[in-house]
Amino acid sequence: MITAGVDVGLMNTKIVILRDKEVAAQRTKQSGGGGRGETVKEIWQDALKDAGIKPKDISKVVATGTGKKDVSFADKTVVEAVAAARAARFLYPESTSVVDAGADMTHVVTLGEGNTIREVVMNQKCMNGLGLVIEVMADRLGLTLDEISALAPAQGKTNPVNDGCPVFAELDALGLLNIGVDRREVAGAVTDAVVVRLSSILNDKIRPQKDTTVFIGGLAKNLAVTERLKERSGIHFLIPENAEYGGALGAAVIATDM
Amino acid sequence: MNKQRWETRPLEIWGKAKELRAQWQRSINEAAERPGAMLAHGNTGEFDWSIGFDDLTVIEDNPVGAMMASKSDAFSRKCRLASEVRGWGREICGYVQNCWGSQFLGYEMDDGAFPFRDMSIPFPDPCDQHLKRGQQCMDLSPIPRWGADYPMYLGPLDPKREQAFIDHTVYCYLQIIDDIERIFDHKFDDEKMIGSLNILPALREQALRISRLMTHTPAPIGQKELYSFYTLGLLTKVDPKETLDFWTSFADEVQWRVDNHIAAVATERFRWMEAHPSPWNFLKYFRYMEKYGAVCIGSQYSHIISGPIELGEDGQFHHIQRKKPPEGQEIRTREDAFRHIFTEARGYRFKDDEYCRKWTITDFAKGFHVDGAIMPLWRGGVGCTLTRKEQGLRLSEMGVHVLHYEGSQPGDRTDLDERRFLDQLDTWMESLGLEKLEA
Amino acid sequence: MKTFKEILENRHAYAKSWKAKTGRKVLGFYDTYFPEEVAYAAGLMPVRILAEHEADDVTDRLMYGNCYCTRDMLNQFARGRYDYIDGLVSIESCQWWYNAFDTTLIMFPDLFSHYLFTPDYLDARTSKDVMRSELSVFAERLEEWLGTKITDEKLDDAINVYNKNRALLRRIYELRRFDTPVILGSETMEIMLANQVMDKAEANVMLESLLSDIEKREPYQDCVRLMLLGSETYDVSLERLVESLGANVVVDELDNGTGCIANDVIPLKDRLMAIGLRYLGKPHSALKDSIWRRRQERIFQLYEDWQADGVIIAKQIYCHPHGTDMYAVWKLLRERNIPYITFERDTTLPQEETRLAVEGLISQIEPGRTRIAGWSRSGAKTG
Repeated sequence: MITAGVDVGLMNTKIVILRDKEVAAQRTKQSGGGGRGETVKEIWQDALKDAGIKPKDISKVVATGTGKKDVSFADKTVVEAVAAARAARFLYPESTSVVDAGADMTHVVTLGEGNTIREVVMNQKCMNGLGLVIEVMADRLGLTLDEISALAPAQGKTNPVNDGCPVFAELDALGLLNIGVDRREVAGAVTDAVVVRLSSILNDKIRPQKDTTVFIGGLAKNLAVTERLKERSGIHFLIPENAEYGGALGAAVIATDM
Repeated sequence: MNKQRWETRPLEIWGKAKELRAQWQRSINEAAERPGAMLAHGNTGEFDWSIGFDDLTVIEDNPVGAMMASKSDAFSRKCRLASEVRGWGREICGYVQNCWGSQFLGYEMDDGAFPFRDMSIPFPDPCDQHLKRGQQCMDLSPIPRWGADYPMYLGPLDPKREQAFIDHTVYCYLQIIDDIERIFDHKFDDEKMIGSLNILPALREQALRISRLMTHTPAPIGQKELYSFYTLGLLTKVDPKETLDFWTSFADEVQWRVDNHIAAVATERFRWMEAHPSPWNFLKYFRYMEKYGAVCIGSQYSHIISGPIELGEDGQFHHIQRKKPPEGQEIRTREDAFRHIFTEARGYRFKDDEYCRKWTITDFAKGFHVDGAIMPLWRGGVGCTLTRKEQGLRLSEMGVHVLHYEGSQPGDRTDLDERRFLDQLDTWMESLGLEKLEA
Repeated sequence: MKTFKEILENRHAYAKSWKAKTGRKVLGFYDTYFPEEVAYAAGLMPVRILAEHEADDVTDRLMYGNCYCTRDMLNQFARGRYDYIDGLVSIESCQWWYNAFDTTLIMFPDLFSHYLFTPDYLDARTSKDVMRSELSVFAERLEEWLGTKITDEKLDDAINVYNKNRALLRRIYELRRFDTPVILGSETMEIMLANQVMDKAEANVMLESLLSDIEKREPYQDCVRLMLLGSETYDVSLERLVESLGANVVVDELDNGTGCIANDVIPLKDRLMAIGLRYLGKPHSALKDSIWRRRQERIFQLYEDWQADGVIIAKQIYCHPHGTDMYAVWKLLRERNIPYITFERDTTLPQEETRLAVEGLISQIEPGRTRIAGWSRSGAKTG
């Protein structure tokens, strides 16, 4: 059985194709803003080519992500939290929670028995766009995402920026640049602010367990974020190799049930 | 999954409700024409003492501001801009911004002149914004104004504190009445006020009947109906008997609906409660939730007419036994009447359920058999948000699924992201395994 | 001066050491309407709960919409910074403070706690009676908790210590009225903040010594003189920023500035009534200035008496009492043609935006400002 999951995020669209519950292909591309629907079609063709199959070979397609309604060929849409939960249990059957943090939203999902969900905590509005903040700051500071990911843990501790609101954090960061603070220090301070907010979401309701919490989404790829978050929260996250494909994978797994 | 479908039909009492609402609006319009007739009050509360003044109309900015938000987004935006350029920012309650923004503009939604307030009484309960709001009409013109505390304390009953608080509060009101008589030459009718004292308990009985009936499945009415009716008779200075008759008919009709299995939502399979108040410009989320077969059975706020209630061991809601004035003490004077009111009301104001009797929220969830709770988080207006997160945790701990959404304030749509709110509802419902039953 | 700064920076260590030294208890409180004298007479050290700038990932669980100050107060309790506090008192005041108090008690239910009703309607005829009654209830609760008797002698001593403390602090403010003041705004605020977390008897000794030293100091140069209004402040970053731009905050109308030192307890036979009257009669906070407005005239009087050239209004985001009063304050300043800027503080002081705004205000004031001709930094006339 071949199924596909499409996760249309704020910054990137991800596709995972499963053949008998094994990953046959995965693809990602920038979501393309206003022309998101067209981008989805393009990347869909590429993914099919990678898997060496035709559209008719696919049994079911499930879409998720903030732009899930733009996937015209989807048989079903599911909310991000549901996709994340299925991905977590698929990858780590013993998992109890999953954190899904990308460019836009952050979800902390407490898993129930089987495929059920006990609770979902979504980020407050002031914590929207945490991944986007890092991307924007990387751009402003002339650093690549890899360079930010490689920041040493101590970088950014001397000149903290506002950790209550990403927009204020950016303004503070620009202020630090103006007074000559090293750009890596500034990047570290912004990373810390993002981590404080992520940690706050983890603390909001049911606290995720130490060794059975999965971390997926674009931010899970950022080592500076995950290491600092681990230090702050005490949680040893289970991070899959292709963490950014978590939502798409979950959607593809759900398609196998249909 | 429950596939039962129940019959639905509109309430027949709607016509009478509209009539009462129009009567209230007429009383405002008429008062605006009469010098010395309009009293701006910070919180009209449970009991309208001004019933002793025939020539006085009490108006609170909450319903005025909420009405503007609900009826005209464009106008309430104008009002908020008018207040913003004068210094008010994002933390100021939307009701305050709408109502007094309209005064800054000088006109109302219908282009008529903003009714001049002849006097003002701010009030510290249940929100700091209620305390500060009374100054705007005085800034416009140096009208008479008074204060009225509503003291509270935490911990067990303390007779010494009770007495001091009652003395203070009673004196504040007696001074207000004396001053209004002296300044405006209005006559306060003690007998009329004393005579109206028995109306409120009778009204509470009828409202409690409705609250109890709403524990039934399917819920006979929903939150929208409660919100439509809960201000009638309390925020309005209509004939008390007429008000009581209305609530009796309302309770009778709800009883009839229960007896005949008439539902608020035909596909009810998920019952949810909320915390106060709703975004008045965006009430369509109730309808959106109905697509999932989810019915809102109200909130502590919308069941307020029942008075303070508690869940008995029989699983039914009962009135909390109020303190009574000493046996044999007759009510002859206005001071007696105020002592009676404040003795009875001590510790039973609305906010006490959030400050002092924190268990009432979980009792409410239990009594109405709810599956979930939607708890708004408002940035402006402290009283609308204070303790909301704690309440969410307590409900969550008892197994109720909790959803928080954010906005500026029920009377201010600025920060309410409607699309995001509906997305959150989808996430909430789908994560609980529910799917839409209709598009 | 250094000692006040050190105490402020190490205030938790100071309180712990005071406890170890005296064997007595510490009582936390939030608002300057709290009648400290009664607690002091009971042998307690009242310590004001101050906010800090500390990363906060714990309060979202329990709070929403609060100003950062009240969030941080809870944050600090959650992190154990206030592990030496034995009891906590809240009064009828800003609801965000109440929220910090109430939520802290959810985390630490074993703390001694008391809610003291201070009328919002300060001017009613019976306000003093209800305040007196509340002070008496509070005193009884303290007596019961501590197993001590709050005698008239102890109350007299507390009244004397606190009156003296306020008088000494007023002397510091008086020194700021000079054209070439001997003390800066940041230094003053450091003293004010440290004073709120100290044993007042010890603070008085330090203040007396400081005053005798400070009056011998070389004065600072005449420069743009600013007044600070708005929400309470818990650090001196804004004052320092102003000073770095060649100006000086010479006066404030903050609840924890001039608002808490303006009037004294006038001795009466009924000590509790005397204390109650002092708190009812102190300059109205933005919240309690809810009936006839008194703040505007007081702001203008302070502005004139301290010869300020302009005003900075610094409001905490989500500080609703000051948010609501902004209308009246702006109206006053506009009508009297007083230059001012308004900005919002958050968890950190946004340095760049604030610097730009303050620079703008100073540039607006400087060209038209009448300088004190011929006066140098030393204060000696040169021309």
